[in-house]
Amino acid sequence: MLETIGLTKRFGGLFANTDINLSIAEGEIRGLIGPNGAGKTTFINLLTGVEEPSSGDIWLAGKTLLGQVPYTRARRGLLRTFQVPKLFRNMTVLENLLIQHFACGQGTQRDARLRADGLLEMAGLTRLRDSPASHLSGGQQALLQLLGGFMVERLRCYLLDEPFAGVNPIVKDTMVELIHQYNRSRGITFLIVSHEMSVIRQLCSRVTVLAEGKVLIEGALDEVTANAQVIDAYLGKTWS
Amino acid sequence: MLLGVDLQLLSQYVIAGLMIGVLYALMALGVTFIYSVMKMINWSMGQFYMLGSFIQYLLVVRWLGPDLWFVALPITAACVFVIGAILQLVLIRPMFTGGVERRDEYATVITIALLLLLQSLATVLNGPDEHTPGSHLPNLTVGTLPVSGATLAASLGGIAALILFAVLLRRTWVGLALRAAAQSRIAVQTAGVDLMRLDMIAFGIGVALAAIAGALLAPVYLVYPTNGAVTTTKGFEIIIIGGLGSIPGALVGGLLLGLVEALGSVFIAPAYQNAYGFVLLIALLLIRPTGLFGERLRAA
Repeated sequence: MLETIGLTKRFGGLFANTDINLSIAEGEIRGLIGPNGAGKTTFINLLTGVEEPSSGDIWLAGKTLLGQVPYTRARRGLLRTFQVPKLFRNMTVLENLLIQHFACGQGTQRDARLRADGLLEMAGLTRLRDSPASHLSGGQQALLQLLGGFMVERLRCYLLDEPFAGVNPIVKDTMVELIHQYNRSRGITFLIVSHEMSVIRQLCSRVTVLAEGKVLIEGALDEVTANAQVIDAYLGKTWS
Repeated sequence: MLLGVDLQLLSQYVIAGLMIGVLYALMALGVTFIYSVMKMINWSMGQFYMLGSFIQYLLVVRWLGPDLWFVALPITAACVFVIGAILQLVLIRPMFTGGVERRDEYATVITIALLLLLQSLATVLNGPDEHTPGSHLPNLTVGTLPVSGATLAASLGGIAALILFAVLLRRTWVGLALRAAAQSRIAVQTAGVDLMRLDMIAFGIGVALAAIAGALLAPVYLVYPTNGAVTTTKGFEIIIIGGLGSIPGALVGGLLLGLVEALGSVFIAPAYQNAYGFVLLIALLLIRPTGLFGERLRAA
């Protein structure tokens, strides 16, 4: 579904991402972990066109995304969330969902409303439907951001950047459940950046570890966390 | 009598001030709207006001006649919307697609160049002559107060334009996208909005608002190549009074400026009408540097 070939991003002399080769199968939920500053967010930015890679290529469902601007990537089914939720804060919760629907340019207003109401119901946000998004708690904002992508009929691959950071356990469970549900019922592929190992264990059969902008190792979570290099990357070499 | 001023005279000035204030608000709204979506200031706003007044004048004098001014108005707005959209496409869009480093500086240079270009072009084509489309609207009396028909029509037209603008923002999908873009330009793009096209629409709407003000005021003030200068100054005064990027700020600031000018004219002297706004502006900046509705900018 999603594949990168030799993806590299250089900021001046700093290599934020170096030669990343990653391949995620259709319907997979992949975890992307690594210490702070490993280049995880840069990687998501490259995938979604927020930043242009210095070299390398990105493929989505057999077509290259190179040279595509962010909005055309979104319309091809590649959506994302942001680590610090970028909601439209002065707009209502409902409007935040509707914009996502219309942005990808399909369906009627009635479809959009039905879908939004359904999602809000599932997420337990119905009573906040007409409140400004700025009134939501941090966790609710993260949840609303996640729902945004599910508004899009043609969503195929959803990139979540630290979706669980600062989210309380109950909301976190709701999010995990929604991800599972959309993965199973609609075969949506996920790439989840997170530091929360327990959630990654629940969701992801495979994880990729990034450190210093490079892929360190790829495999099942328990496998990679037992790896000496990964422990070094997280804790520093003096510990091993 | 209030401070030695006849109350009837006072209320007449206040009403006239508020009526002109609506048009000031329209002008300020255009500037603030373009800023809030595109994060750039369009310094050539007054020249779109001028374009609006000229197009309105030509339509009324050549084809429609002064009685059909309200037919000419939407045509003028549509023409300037299209002109604005084309100029955005050719001159302003490149700074968002190429890797321009100092975007606000580029925007300043290009819109000031546009200001000079449009103003000089108008002078070449028209000469320095002043025109008026004329108006057959009778002067009314509200109670015992005389009200100029053309000014009343202009302010009612301005209110209609403001309502239309509000409906567009609140009730349409383009309005939803415009409001979203004003809050996060990155997030609307990753959501799937074609931001470059949206910018074109925003710029067109913003300059059309100025053109509507120009068209409505054509019979009240005159039509000539540099008539945008005074209104531009007032538009920017209002932006600072109301707070940059704030739509309520533009509306309240516009009315407030009209009111202050009227009161200054009554209590001090009408000759300094254009100066009272600056007094208000300086006084307000001392108390509230962000403007009435402005917010402190946060870096990053």
